[in-house]
Amino acid sequence: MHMNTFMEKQGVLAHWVDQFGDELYTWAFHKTRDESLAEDLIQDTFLVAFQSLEKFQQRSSPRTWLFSILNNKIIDYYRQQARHSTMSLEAQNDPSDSLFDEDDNWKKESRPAEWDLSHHHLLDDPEFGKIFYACMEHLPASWLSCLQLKYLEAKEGEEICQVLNISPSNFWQILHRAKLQMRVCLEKRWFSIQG
Amino acid sequence: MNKVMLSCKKATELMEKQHIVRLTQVERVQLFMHTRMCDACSRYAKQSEFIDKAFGQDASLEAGNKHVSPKILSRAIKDKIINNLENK
Repeated sequence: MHMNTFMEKQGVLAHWVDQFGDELYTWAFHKTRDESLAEDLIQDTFLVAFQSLEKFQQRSSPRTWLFSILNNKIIDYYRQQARHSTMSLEAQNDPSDSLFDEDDNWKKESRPAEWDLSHHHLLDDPEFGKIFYACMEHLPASWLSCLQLKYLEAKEGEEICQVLNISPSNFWQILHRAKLQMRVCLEKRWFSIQG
Repeated sequence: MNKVMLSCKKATELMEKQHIVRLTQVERVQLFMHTRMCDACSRYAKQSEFIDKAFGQDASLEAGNKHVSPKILSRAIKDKIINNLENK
C-alpha cells in the first residue's frame, strides 16, 4: 500500500477507527474488564497500525490485521502484569486445603459430581458463558494473567514459563489451583442447578 | 503402597503437569491407574478437559465474541484516537 501523505494515512486510519473501533474495544474490554485500559489498548493498536501501515500489504483484511495487533497488546499487558505481581503460591490461596483431606484425597463433600456434558452446544450457550466468565473473575489476578497468556498465546507451556520467569512446576501448580477453583465454581453455579 | 497409588491431589496435579512438561513413565502409569480406579478423579479429568476447552473458546476471537456483550467507543474517544496519531 503506497501512502504518500500523512493526510492519506490518517484518512485510512480514521475510517478503520469508525469501522472496527467498537468491535476492537468490545474485545479489549472483554479481556481486561477495565474501560480506560481497554481504551488505551485501542489507542496503542491504532498507533502501531499507523506507524506500520506501509507494511500492511492487504494480505489479510484490515480487521484481521488490527485484531492481531490488539491481541499482541493484550498479551504484552498480561506479561507485564504477571511479571509485576508475585506468583503467589502461598497457602491461603490454595483451594486444595478445603477440598482434600489429610491424606490428600477428596473430602467426601468435595468429590466432583457427575456433570451433564452431553449438551453439545454448552460452550455456545451465552448463559453458560456468563457463568464461566463470572467464575474466571473470582480467580486471583496473577493466576488469571497466567491463564490469559496460556490460552491467548497458544504457546507451549515451557515457553510461557520463560516469559513469566517462573518454573514449570510453579506454572502447573497455578493452573491446578485455578482449575480446582473454577471446577467448584462451575459446579455450584451451573451444573448442580441444571437439570 | 504409597509409591504405587497416588493421592487424588497428586493425580489431579499430574493432569495439569502433563500439559506443561512430559511426565515420566512412572508418573504416566500412576496417573492412568489412579484415574481408572477413582471415580471422582475420572470425572475430574473429563471436567478439566471441558474447562480447558471453555478457556480456549473464551480466548478465541471468533467464537469468543458470541459471549461478549458489545461495547461502544464514544465519538469523543474515537476522535481522540485519530487526533493522537498526529502527535506521533
